[in-house]
This record gives sequence, structure tokens and C-alpha cells, in this order.
Amino acid sequence: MNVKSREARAGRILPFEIPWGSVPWWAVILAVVGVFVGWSVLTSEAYLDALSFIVDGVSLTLQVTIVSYLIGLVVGLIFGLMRVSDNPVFYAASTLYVEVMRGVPLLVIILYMGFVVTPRLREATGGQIDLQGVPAAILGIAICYGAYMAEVYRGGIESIEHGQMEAARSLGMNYMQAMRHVILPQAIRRVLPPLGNNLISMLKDSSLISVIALNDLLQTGRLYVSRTYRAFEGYNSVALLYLTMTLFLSFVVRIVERKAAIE
Amino acid sequence: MNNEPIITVENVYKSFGHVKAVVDVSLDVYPGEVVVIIGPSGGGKSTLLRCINKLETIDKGRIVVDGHSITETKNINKVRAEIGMVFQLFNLFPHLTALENITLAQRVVRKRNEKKAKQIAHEQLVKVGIGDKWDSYPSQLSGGQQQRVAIARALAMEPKIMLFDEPTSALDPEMIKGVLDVMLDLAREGMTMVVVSHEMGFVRAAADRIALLDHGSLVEVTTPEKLFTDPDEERTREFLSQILH
Amino acid sequence: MRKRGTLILVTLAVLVALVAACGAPVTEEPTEVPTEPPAEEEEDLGTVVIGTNAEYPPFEYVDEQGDITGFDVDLMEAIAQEAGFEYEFVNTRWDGIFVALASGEFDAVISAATITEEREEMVDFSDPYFNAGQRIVVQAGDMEIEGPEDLAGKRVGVQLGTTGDIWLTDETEAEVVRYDENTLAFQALANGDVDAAVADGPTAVDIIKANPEMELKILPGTYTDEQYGIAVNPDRQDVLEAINQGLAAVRDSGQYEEIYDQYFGTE
Repeated sequence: MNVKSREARAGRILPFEIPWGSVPWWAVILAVVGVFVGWSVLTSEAYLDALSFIVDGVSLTLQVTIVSYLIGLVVGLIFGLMRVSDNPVFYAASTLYVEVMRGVPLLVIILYMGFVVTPRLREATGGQIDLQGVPAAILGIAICYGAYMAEVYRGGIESIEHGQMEAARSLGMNYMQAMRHVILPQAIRRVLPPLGNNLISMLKDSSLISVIALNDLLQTGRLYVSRTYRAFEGYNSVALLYLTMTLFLSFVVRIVERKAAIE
Repeated sequence: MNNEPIITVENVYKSFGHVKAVVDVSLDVYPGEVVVIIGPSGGGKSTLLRCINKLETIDKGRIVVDGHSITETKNINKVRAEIGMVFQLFNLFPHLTALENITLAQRVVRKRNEKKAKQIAHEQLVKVGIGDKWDSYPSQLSGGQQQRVAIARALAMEPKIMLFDEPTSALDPEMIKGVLDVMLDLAREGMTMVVVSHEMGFVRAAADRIALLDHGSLVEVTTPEKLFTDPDEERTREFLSQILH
Repeated sequence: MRKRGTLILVTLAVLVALVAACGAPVTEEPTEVPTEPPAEEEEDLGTVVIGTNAEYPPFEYVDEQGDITGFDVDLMEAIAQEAGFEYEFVNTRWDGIFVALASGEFDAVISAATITEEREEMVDFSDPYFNAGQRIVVQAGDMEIEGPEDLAGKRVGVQLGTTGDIWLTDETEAEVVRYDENTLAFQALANGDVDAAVADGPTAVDIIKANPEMELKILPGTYTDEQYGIAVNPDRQDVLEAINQGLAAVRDSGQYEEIYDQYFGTE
């Protein structure tokens, strides 16, 4: 071993070996392009003008996405469990929910939440429950995505071999204990990739909330363009900001996946 | 040995759709007994075993374990805690270490505290001969080691009965002996065991009685001596001639 | 002698009149003297591509048969006929419609577009063809809001990017709530999500008439003097001149009144 490396080192210029194979080339290329784009943007006054106005929309977009996602994860888990249940009522109710929510476009759901559900609920409860604005948007997205996530969870649970449930039950665990300690920990690890994808798509779908007049990133961008007529800088800035957020979220998702696998 | 059977199987029928897996089987198992079920593949042996702890539900007949009727009991989980089961494919929980595999049910079902559960788990691991592997994950263990963890996991619940469903069929030849030795020790200690297996060496060494199951029916129930020297049934002889070479 | 002279004069007069009557083909002079350069009527403009955002009744909208119709559509039809050019409508988004026009995607845009200085930097406008001012709409039972000052601190709905949006943002202290379409803004008002809505007068009238159950009322004031113009690609001066010519003709002939009454007559 030692003799080999000494020989190998003899013909080399650098004192160490560059691991060409393990360099994440896609990240390198992206970083180079990113620096280039960043430089040209930051030195352009038009872009700085657009970005400084439009970046205000980022906070609402992030807020809505994160809250909707967390709610969606819980809703999805509940309905996912109902979808694999033997109980006919649970199964029927959850199947109805999944089919309806996956069958109606998210834009329509959001419009429905904002223009039909919110006023009716307000009337019916005498103003006690007022979803006006951001709550309607969050609920709309969470309820819609919950249906997709329910199916993701279901797929994960069903992919766990029957032997696992049998072993847990034969030890005396009841269904819920088996789910909680044996099945779900494995199932959830398996579905982290699709759940992570859902987060990324949700971030982009959050742009639909502009239709109920909320000042998210897209709405702010459109407002900028409508005032200055600078469509190029305006929409490029919107795209840039969405891309930055999704890349960051992708990175976070990747780390979570890696951590879960080690365990 | 007690005179009352601890497992009573009475006129049990079980079908999967058109396939009749178990046809009118009756068998009693007494406390401390080791009963080995043998027979050709597809003969219904595993199905019968799995009916005992209700992993399969029977269509007709009666099964009583430790005084509880399997078909009628309201709390099958409690009954299952008294029956340990070891599977052909081990079925260890891959996301938990060997120790955690063994402590989980103790905590969740027997409600023991963490400390006690761990202590018992360590004892069982030592008993099956792999005390040093407590921290390993199933993926880091060989087949034989995994099966021993599975046996320890079942034993940690301190069950009254142990069921073994072809425990060595999925193991490489050199690991089989290790597992069979553990089972032998268990038998010598007086555990009530019902074992589905092809391992004739084990049958000779440990079995009190042997049941031959073919196409779902009980062909013969006999003792090891009689089985190897002079079985009653023709089908038994046929089966033996096929597997003893 | 006088009788003969008179007779000769009369005959000459008749002859001259006869000659004058068939004079055009004989003398080959045009009967009308054009006020524009002569090339105007002879030149072929090609098919004029006209962009419009057909989501703004009663000016332009898509009817049950799927056809683009409305005041602007009928007016353009009349103008094109008077000016003698072929045209086709293209239904497009409101966002960026002037950018598209300036870049040549259309030759002209008629879409209830107010003539503003900002827009004039990008495109040319025809002579004004309609005056519409922004008006405020509130719920029928509202006693508080009577004018723009009362909008201070209130949520007011409007269509994003329109003149109403700009007026509310720059001239009032209202909290501006921007919707994709006027109808959504008015629905929000009916639902109580906003305290008032602002839109061009004719549009407001139309929406209110179409939705009596919303129980809205339109305040009497008109708050901006807004002239609608037909926007034209600055590279198509020929189209601009044809349109202005046609528009003038339509006004003169009384067709404009007819079309106006058809859409806004009941007000």
C-alpha cells in the first residue's frame, strides 16, 4: 500500500488527490451561473429597483407555504391512516376527501375558500369565524395538499412488508401501537422524498393566493410591472426570488433525508 | 407435565378462497411439550401455526390457548403477549437496534420501565449467544444472528408458549446449527413449543411429538422413535423417504 | 335680339351643366378634394391586428356563443368600415398589453384603456373616444362613505393595474386590495371583505345591473376625467391615421350615438 502511493505521488503536481468523481458538478455549475447572474443583477439599477420592491412579497409567500405545509402534513397523515383502515366509515370518508380535493384545481379551491366559504362561515357564526385573507389561503392550500399527502403516506404504509405488522401484533401490540412504533417510523422515512417534493411545489402553488388579493411574491411582482411597465426586470425578479427559495428548500429537504437515513 | 392441554385445536378449518389450507385438524399441546409439525410444502403447516395466535382467522372449529378461546376473546392482544412467535424471515424492526427491538414490546405491552426492559433484553441476548451485538442494527447482523435476536425478542415477553414458523429455512447452512442449539436449550428448559420445521436432527433431539400435515389434513401424530422406525401411515413413509437422504 | 341672347345663354348654361354633370369621367378630376395626403385611402394597411382584454363588460367581453363583443367591438367595427381596413381581434391578458403592443405583437389595442402620459411614452393614442371616470361603489345600506376622503383607512377593492388602482393608491388614503378582475372586487364588496370598490363608471354600472342581489349602490361623483383612446403601435402611423379618420366619421354620421345608447342608454 505504501509503496503504491509513493509511486503514484511521484507523477503528481499537487500534494493531494482531487476526487473528481465526488465533486457535485451540478452545484458547481449552478454556483458559477448564480454568481454571474447575481453580479449582473446587483450592478443593474433597474433590477435593484425591481428586486427591492418585489422582495416584500417573499415574507407572505414563505409564511403561507410553511404554515400550510405543516397543517397539510398532519391532515395528510390522519387521512392516510384512514385510507388504510379496515373501518368502512373511515375508509369511505377519506376516499371521498382524497378524490374531491385531487379532482378540483387548487386555484378553484382557493377562490372557493375566499369567495364562498369565508362569507358563509362568517354569516353562519355571526362573525366569530372569519377566515378573511390569509387564513382562507392557508386552509385552501392545506386541505388540497393534504389529499395528495394522504396518498403519499398511504403508499409508504402499504410498502412496508406485512411481516412487520405481524411481528408487532404477535408481540401483543394493538394496531395503533404497531403503527406508531413500527410501521409509521419506517413508512415516513420512505416517503420523505415525495413529501419534500410537495413542499417545493407548494411554494410555487402559493402564488395562486394572489387571486384572493393577497400580497404575496407574485402579486407584488405584478403590481410592480403594472406601475413601471418594466415587465422584463419585474418578472425576472419574481422568477429569481422563487428560484432562490426553492433551491434553499431543496437543500433543506436533502439534509433532512440524509439525516433520517443514517438513523 | 400437566394433564390439561395448554393449546387445544379442535376441528379447525381454514380456506383462502377456493384453496383449503387446513381441513378438520384437531391437536392438543400440553404444557412443556415440544410438538413439531412436518409435512410437504403447501400442506398447511404455517397456516395452522398462524391460526393459533390469530394471525389467520379460522373458518370453523375451536382454538383455545391458555384458557382463552382465540375466536371469541375480546382482547386478543393480551393473549398474544403470552404467545411468542419466531418467523421464517425474522421480521426484525430495521429502524431499531437489537436491544431496542427487544425492549419495545416490553415497554409498550408489558409496561415495564426502560431500565428493567433493557436489563431483561441484555440477559436474553446473552442467553441466545450474541450479548455483544446489542447495539447493532439488523442490517449489520448475519441471518443467524438476526434470528437469534428475534428469538430473544419473543422470549423477553416471558411468554407461556413459543411458536416457530420454519425458523431456519431462510438461513445459510453454517448458521442453522446456532439457531437450533438455542431452540434445543429452550426445549430442555421446559418451554412449550410448537415448531414447523424440516430439520430432522432437531426433531430427533427435541420433539416430544410430531404431527404430519399434508394437503391440510392431519395424517399422523406420533413420537420421534416411531416416526423414524415404523410410522403407521403410508403417506408418512412416503414423505420421510423424500426428505431423508 | 335679347331673346336670342337669352336663348343662347340658357343653352350654354344647360350645356355647361350637362358637361359638368358627366364632368368627372370626362375631365378625370376627383370630385372631392382630400384634406389628407392622397395616398391614405388607396394604401392597404393589411389586416390590422387588434388586441383586447375581453374581460371588461360592457366594453369588451365574451358572450354565450364565445364571440368577443361589446361597445369597443362595435365601435371598432364602425371605424374600420368608415376607414376601409380589414381587422381581427385577439383576446389577451390585461397585464403587459401595452408592452405587447409596443413590441409589435398587435397593431392596435382597444380595451377601455385610459390615455395616460406614462402609456404615451410607449405607444400612440388615437383621439379620445369615451370619457369614463372612476366611481365609488358601496353596499346599499352604507351611510359612512360618501366620497374619496371617507375611504381613508378603509379596505377598497379594485382590479390590479387599472387606472382605478393607480388613483386609489396615489390620491386616497385607502388600503388598496387588488383583485384579478372587477367582478371579484365587487363580489368581495358584497361579501363584506372590503368596504368599497372602485371601477370605471360604465363597468360599475354594468356589474351592479347584472347582480341585483349584491345590493350595491354607486356614488354620484366621478373622480377622474378619463379619456379612453385606442392605443396604436408607434411604428404604424398609417393605422393611427386611419383610426382617427374612421372615428371622426363615425361621430359625424351619428353611429357613435347609436352604439352609445345601445350600451349605456338606460343609465
